[in-house]
Amino acid sequence: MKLLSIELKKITSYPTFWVFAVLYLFMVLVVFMVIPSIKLNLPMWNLSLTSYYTFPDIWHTLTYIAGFFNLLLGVLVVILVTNEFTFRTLRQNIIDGWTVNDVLSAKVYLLIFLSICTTVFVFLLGLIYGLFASPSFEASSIFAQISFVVAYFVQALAYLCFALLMGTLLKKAGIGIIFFLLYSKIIEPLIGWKLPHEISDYLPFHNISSLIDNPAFKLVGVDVSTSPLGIHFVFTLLYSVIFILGSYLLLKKRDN
Amino acid sequence: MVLSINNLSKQYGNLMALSNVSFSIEKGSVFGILGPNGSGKTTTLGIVLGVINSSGGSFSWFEETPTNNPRKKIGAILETPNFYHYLSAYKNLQIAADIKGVSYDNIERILEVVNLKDRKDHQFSTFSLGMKQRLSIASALLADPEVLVLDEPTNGLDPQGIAEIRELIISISKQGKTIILASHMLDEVEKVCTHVAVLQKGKILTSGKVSEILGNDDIIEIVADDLQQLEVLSKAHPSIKSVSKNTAGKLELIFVNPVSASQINDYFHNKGIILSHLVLRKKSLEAQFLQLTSQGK
Repeated sequence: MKLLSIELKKITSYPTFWVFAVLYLFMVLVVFMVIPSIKLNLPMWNLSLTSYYTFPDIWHTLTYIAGFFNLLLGVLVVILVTNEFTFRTLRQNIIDGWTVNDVLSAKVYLLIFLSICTTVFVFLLGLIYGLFASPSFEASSIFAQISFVVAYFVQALAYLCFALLMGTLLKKAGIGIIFFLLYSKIIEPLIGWKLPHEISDYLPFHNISSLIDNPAFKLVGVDVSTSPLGIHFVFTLLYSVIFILGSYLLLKKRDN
Repeated sequence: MVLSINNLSKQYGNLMALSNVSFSIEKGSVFGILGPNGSGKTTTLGIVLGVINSSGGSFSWFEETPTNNPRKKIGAILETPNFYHYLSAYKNLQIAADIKGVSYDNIERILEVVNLKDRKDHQFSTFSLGMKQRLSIASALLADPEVLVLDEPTNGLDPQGIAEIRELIISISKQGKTIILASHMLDEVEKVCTHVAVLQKGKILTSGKVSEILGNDDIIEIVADDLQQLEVLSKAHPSIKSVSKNTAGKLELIFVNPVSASQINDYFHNKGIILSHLVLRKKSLEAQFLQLTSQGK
């Protein structure tokens, strides 16, 4: 707790942190609210998005949309981590009395804290919107697919752990952000494209995003899992641990 | 012993940044680590402060096992002032206090000591180099530590700032605290330190008490027709310390105790030698430093 409170003191007066935090909340809110008002002109299917925005499906829809904006949080974490290198405050924190273990634990606590905050936000948004939008529902249906919210937490945390590793590895904000985006959007898809499905499905980013399937598949009759707590969930947790361990080894082996 | 260092080495690729450095620092001393830029001062301090991994050797603080983390009992600055650029001086010190596990009560007083009180709510990034340097000294003093490690603390300060910091160091040492000071400036070490280790190219050239190592010897320069005879007689002088021939072909004599030019003249005159040249020269600190470092080549 002491470590977390120090980490929070570092960022609460940091304008960039607030820009990213507000941007994230704003984007999730706006995109989530705007989508239902889009009129799809596809007479053959006679689409209605209503079911997506009522309990229990709303959890799937919302966490899928929010998942896109994890990227913003990832970039923020790369900045926060690389700041410690550019300001050489990581070095000073150690000189002042922290161990490498303290340095890393403090950051991991911060990532968990940020993931909890976003998850609580997503939960409240879903709950309030759902209560207004669902015409009639039973109490049991409200939380029927609440596992998506749990999955969202794990997904966000895994993204942030990857950002932690990138920041620790590359030390410079610009390079860290570029590589973070490059890897998730280009490098891994290219690698995955060359590999058989059974393997590419479990590459870090593919696996982490597979945690919550695109709910729109339901429109075209594809069977979509209503529980995200399967094998991808386990692998996502595993990757998070690997990212943290990787960061630890880097900090331990390197001269800081 | 506050700190003992044993055969510490550090290798960067092919470069031996530090080879088999050993020294110990007694409680209450002001220990200078003197050496030109790139001689391994910061590397040595970085290792004992836990931010650089050594390639060999060992060190121990307060005669404890190295597994204990002693750094909360040490106030240290290394190379540059390291702070969060976007935070105020006060908030930066709060973070340092949190890490050290001490209360904020000291912050105001310390900021006054380093003359930054009226700038405490300003962002670190708006500070001048001298102010940054003073803030880092404030941070080192924050937890009222037993040991203060200062790496080039007067770097970037104006003459008045330098004088202030030196006075501060001396007044802190009078409270019985141990100070470890790395510097490339000889007069700084001479003015504030009780002990010194001279480093060059990662090796210890010499270490001991400042008064012994940086002793302010006078040099007497002499020439006579028969230089060989002169040298023999010089070496026979009862209080001679060293005799050497300089590049101008003159003999340089250093004596154990102060000797006047006329005494020297008398000495050789009595031995039947007429000196054609006799000059008494104060040896500059820089010359001593160069002499020390040239021995290491």
